[in-house]
Amino acid sequence: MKRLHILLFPLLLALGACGEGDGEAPCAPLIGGGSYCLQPTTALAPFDVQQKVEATFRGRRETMIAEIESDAEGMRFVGLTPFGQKLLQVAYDNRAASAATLPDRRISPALLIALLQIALWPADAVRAGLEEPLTLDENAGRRRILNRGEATISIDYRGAQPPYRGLRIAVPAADLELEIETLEALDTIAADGKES
Amino acid sequence: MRRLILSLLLLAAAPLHAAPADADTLARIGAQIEQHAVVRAEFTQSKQMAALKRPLVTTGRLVFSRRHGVLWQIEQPYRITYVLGEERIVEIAADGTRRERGLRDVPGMAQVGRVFRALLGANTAALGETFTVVVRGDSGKWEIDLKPRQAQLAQFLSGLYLSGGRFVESIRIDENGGAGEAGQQGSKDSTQIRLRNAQSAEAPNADELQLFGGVAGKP
Repeated sequence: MKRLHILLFPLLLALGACGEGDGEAPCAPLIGGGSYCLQPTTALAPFDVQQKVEATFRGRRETMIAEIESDAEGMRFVGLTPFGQKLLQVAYDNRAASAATLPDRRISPALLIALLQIALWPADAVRAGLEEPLTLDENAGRRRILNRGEATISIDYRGAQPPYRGLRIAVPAADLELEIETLEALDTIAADGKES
Repeated sequence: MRRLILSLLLLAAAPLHAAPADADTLARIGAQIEQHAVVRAEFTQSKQMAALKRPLVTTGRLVFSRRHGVLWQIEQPYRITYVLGEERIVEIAADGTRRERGLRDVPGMAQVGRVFRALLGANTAALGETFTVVVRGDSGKWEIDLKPRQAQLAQFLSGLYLSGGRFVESIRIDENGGAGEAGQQGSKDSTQIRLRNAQSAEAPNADELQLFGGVAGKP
C-alpha cells in the first residue's frame, strides 16, 4: 500500500499537479507545458465503469481498480486496491474539482479529472479544453496531445466508444504508462446490514 | 482507510471489555473458531462507497491457516492472489508472476493481513478494550457488534459487525466520515465480506502449501 502511495505521489506530481486545494479553478497544468480546462460532463453520455489500471512509472508497476461515474451532475473517480482500500477519490461537479482522499494533498484533483476527460471525452470537447500551445491529434484508434508538434500524451484505444474495452496511455516525459482494461462489474450482494 | 486499520491494530492484545455474560459467550465463540487449524471458504466482498452508486464487488476463495496466514484468491473481476503472512506479502498475478514484499514495504497491506487474520480467527483478545462489545445468540449462531469507545477511533469507524456459527460467516466494517489522510473530508463507506461453504481441515493441501511457499509460517 505504501509502495502504491509512493508510486502515485511522484507520478502525479510529475504529471503536473498544481497544489491547489478544493474548489480550485477547473484547469490543470499538464506536463510539457499548457493546460487543460475541465469540460462539462454533459459532453458525454452518462456512464459508470470499473477498470483495472496497471501503472508503470519509472520501471515500477502497480495495479489498482478504478471506478468512474459520469452523468449530468458531474463525475466521480475512485481508485482502490483489489482489497478495497481506497487510494484516491476525486469529484467534479461541473464547477470545481474536489478530493475526499488523495495520497498527498499537493496533488491536484483537477489534474486527475483532466486526464480522464482527455482520454474519454469526445475530441471536440477535449480540443475546447486545451490551452495553447496544446493541440489534439486523433487518428484510427489513437489520440495524441501535442505541444508544438511533439506528443506529450498518447492514448491507444481498444473498442469503439467510451469507456472502451481498454486503453493504453503513455506520458513519455513522465516515464509513465497506464494499461487500462474495462472490467465486467459484478452485481452487488445485499447490503442488508447485520446478519440475522 | 489506512488510519482506520492502524487504529484497529492499536487494539491488539488488549483485554476484552464486555459484560460478563457476553465475555463468557465470546470466550466460547473464540475457542470454537480457534480449534480450526485451516479454514477454506468462498468470499464475496462488497465495498459500498457513499460517493458512488455502484459498489466494488470482488469474489473468490480464501484459505485461513493459523500457522501460515491467509490466502486471499480474488477470481472476479480479475484474478489475483495475495498471500498474507506474518513476515511478508506475496502477490501472484493470473499469469503466475509472483511478487514478494516485506511487510515494511507494504505496511498498509500488512495491516490488512493482520486485521483479516484477527477477524477470520475470531481473535477476541485482539479486538480490544476500545470497543464496546454486544454479543447475541450462542456459540451455535452468534452476532458480535463492536463499537469504538474512543472518539478518535469513532471518527473513522462506526462499527464492526461479525456473525457466524461454527465459522465466521460475515464481517461488516462501517466507516465514519472522519477527516481523510491528507485532511480531506472522509466518507461513510461500508465493506461487507460474506463467507460461504466454509470447511475446516487439519492442514493446507499441497497446492495451498505451494502458494504459501514463500511465506514463513509460525513454527
